[in-house]
Amino acid sequence: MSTSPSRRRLLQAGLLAPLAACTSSPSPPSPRPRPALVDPDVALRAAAVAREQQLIARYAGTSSPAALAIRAEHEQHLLALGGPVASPVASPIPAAAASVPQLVAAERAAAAAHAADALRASRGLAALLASLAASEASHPVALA
Amino acid sequence: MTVQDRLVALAEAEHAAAYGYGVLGARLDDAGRRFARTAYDSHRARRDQVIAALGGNAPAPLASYDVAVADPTEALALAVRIETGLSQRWRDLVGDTDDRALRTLGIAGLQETAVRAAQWRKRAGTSPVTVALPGAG
Repeated sequence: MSTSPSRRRLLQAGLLAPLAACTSSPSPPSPRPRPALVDPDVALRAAAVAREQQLIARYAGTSSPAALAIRAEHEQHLLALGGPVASPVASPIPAAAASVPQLVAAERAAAAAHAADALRASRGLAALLASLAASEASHPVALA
Repeated sequence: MTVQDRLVALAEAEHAAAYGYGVLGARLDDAGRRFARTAYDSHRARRDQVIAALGGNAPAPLASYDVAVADPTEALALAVRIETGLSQRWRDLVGDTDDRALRTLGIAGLQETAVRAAQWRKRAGTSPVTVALPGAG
């Protein structure tokens, strides 16, 4: 097939260059960026650490032996998760101690969240999260 | 251990738990006996779920178990041992399977036994009532 004079002029003007590139022999495809492999345990572990830190903060201002023992267990949970065991940020205004019903609700919510994440985690983390869920579920017994 | 092994160990432990509660309940006061009865029923229900997961090919209970309970204190201590022992087996199951249904069963079993262990410790006046990592040994 011969190229018409008008098409030749357009080619010479560079106007059909992109189209010509499409019809020429294919060049090797440029490598697409691959999504980075993400370990789902990283996010699940971080969520569990955040839950434990929130629970520890909930116990700020409580002083009953049961509450102190539970708070110490949450700190052990953080250690087991590899998270930082940080003291609550000092506040010029003392935080009001959470009531027992508030603590019970927070423990039960954390137990449910740990248990849900245990279904999605790797085996090793699943066993740990299941233990954390069981521990939080048992805390209302001590608080009652 | 395989998941099958874990389930067999759980079935054996649930058989023993049901037997143990039958023995220890007789040494408790009325309130304790009622609670022991509830625990007994719960263990039998979990045992049936484990047997179903094994396709019915589960070990039969032994004719008797080596259980000696002389008084309420020993009865409460045995109840705590039963629950903590089961907690370990449920946690082992969770850590050895990717099967969602079995994990769900294991998580529920671990929570139940941890809560009951805490309840028994509280009845016994033991402190602390809870442990940081139930089932972790």
